[in-house]
Amino acid sequence: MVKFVIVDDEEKEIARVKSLIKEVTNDCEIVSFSKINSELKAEIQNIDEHKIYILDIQLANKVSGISIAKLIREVDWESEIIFITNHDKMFESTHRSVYEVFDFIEKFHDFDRRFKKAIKEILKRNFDNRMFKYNATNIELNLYYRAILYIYRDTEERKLVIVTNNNKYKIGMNIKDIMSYLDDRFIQCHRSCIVNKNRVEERNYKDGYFVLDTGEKVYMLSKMNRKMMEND
Amino acid sequence: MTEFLLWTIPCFISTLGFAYLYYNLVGADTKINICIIIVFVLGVLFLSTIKYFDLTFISPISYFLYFPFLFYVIKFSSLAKYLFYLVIIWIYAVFLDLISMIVVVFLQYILDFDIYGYASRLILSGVVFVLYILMAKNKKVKDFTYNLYKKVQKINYFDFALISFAIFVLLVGLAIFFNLNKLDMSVLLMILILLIGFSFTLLIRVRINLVENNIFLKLLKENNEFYLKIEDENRIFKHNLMAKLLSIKSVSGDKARKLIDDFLKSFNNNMDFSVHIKDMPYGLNGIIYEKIYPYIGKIHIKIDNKIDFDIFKKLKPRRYNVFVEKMIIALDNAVESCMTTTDKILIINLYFEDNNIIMDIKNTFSADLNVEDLGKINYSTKGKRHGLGLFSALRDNEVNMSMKIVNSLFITKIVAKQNMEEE
Repeated sequence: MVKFVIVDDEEKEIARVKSLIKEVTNDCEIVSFSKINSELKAEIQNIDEHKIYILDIQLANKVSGISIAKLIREVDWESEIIFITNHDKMFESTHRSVYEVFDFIEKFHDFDRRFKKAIKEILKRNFDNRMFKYNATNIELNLYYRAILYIYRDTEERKLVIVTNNNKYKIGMNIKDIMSYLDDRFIQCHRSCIVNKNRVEERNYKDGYFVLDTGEKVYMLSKMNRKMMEND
Repeated sequence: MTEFLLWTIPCFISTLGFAYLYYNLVGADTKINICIIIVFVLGVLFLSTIKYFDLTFISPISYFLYFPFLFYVIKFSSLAKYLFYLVIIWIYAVFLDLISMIVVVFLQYILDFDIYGYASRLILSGVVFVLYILMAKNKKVKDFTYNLYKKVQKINYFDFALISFAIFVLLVGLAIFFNLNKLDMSVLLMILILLIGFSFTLLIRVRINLVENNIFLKLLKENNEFYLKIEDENRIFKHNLMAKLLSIKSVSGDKARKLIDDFLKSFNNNMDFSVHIKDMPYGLNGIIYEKIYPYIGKIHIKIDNKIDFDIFKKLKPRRYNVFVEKMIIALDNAVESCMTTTDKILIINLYFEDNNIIMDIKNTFSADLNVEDLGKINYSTKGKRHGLGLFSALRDNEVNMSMKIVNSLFITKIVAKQNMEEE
């Protein structure tokens, strides 16, 4: 069952959003708030269940939807956020990156269709917001599993390198240990490499490489691990 | 037993007077609770015991032995304020005792009654109690005490300590000098000279640091004024440019209009202040402006400020300086990092929460990062001869600085706990 949290200062809008949700799924619990209050704060703090937050950006109260998103992301990066807005696109792109917002939907432009589509996509994605968390001496690392492309062992520095779309992170773990932190989308494809199979588009055992959805070709595919890769 | 109880009544009246005076002078809103009642009753018994057994060696300091506890449970906001009111109430008490003694002696002279009798004791306590109540209710006394507290706060305790130390040393030195014919006095003088040398070096060093701090703050203030002026000029320039572009647009063809629209859009969207930069805390606004000014138009900057008070009233200079130092290092790193990304986003949030002044700096980044080595000396993604800034920022615990990566977002949180009480 999915939990929806609606924050909107207009009762009409809340009712409309509720009915749209019901059109997509009945297996859900819906709670609504008209402004930030202690109950909403408690709801945000409860991170045991995954939620879909539907936030109106402009609330009558001083605290805007953006501020509520900020509060959510202080503690919870796994729930989804949808903003209902009439702001410009630049505003959207900035906040989309910062708060991992699933979508910004304009109130007065094809709202019903876009809203239902977004909900369907989230449900289909099945809250794939699980994170890899690692605490180093001075920094805390949090990466969505889906953002990780592959992990390999840097033999020179004797560290693991986590590769994502834009970055590489070196951490002091070994292959065996990190496997226990990852879920079953990650497969050991080589003695020194783990790959996110959901991001692999092509496998070539003969030449020993795999190609990722980013186009990157990685020569770390071992025939020894073929069975494991193929089984999954 | 009866005599003990007879002492209890004046002690009760007197303690109640002290408590009431303190309660009113500090403006406490504490309701009577079990803790206050217990401390109060124990205090009355303690004072009665001193009087009953006539413990003359403890009697003069009985105020400082008991009332700190009572005042603490009534209200404790800061150590400085607490100590000030403890001392000032003692001074008031001495003063009122003096007045009441004069009154009682005068009455004894006129009416010829026993000043040491129980009735006199009770009358004396009653007179002092009434005076306490009158003082506690008197607005002028309250204002006077509060203003005095403000003045005391302005005293440079360091200079005060230095002068007191110098006078003390001079007096002890003189005392020893006149007894130089004794060997033990000569040895003592030697030790004293060594101590003086050490203490003075230490004190002078701290004094120089304070002077340097003041110079730094003055410079900061001047720079701030300068950047605020630049901001004004920038706004005027922007306003004029926009007006001119709009007038050109009104007589342009379609292609030129599109070009102007595109320019106006990028011109307006690259920076988004939730408030005018002047409304940001004084001191920080100039620094933030200086740091981001060269990048306006190159990166998407969002600044959200929720602080509308003077930050100097919450942080002492040392903590403020460390906060600024860390902010500068974090901003430099954030700007440089986000310049290498495609999104180029920099978000600065400034707010006050749970007595903490907090700055969140969020930026997109793209780098090969050694997570274990970040913050260690000489480690930097920029190569050799870098990495000292972050190392030094993390070393100073005056202000807390923590870092977090959430996907492609680098989040730096700087937290300065309020260490100055705003009245």
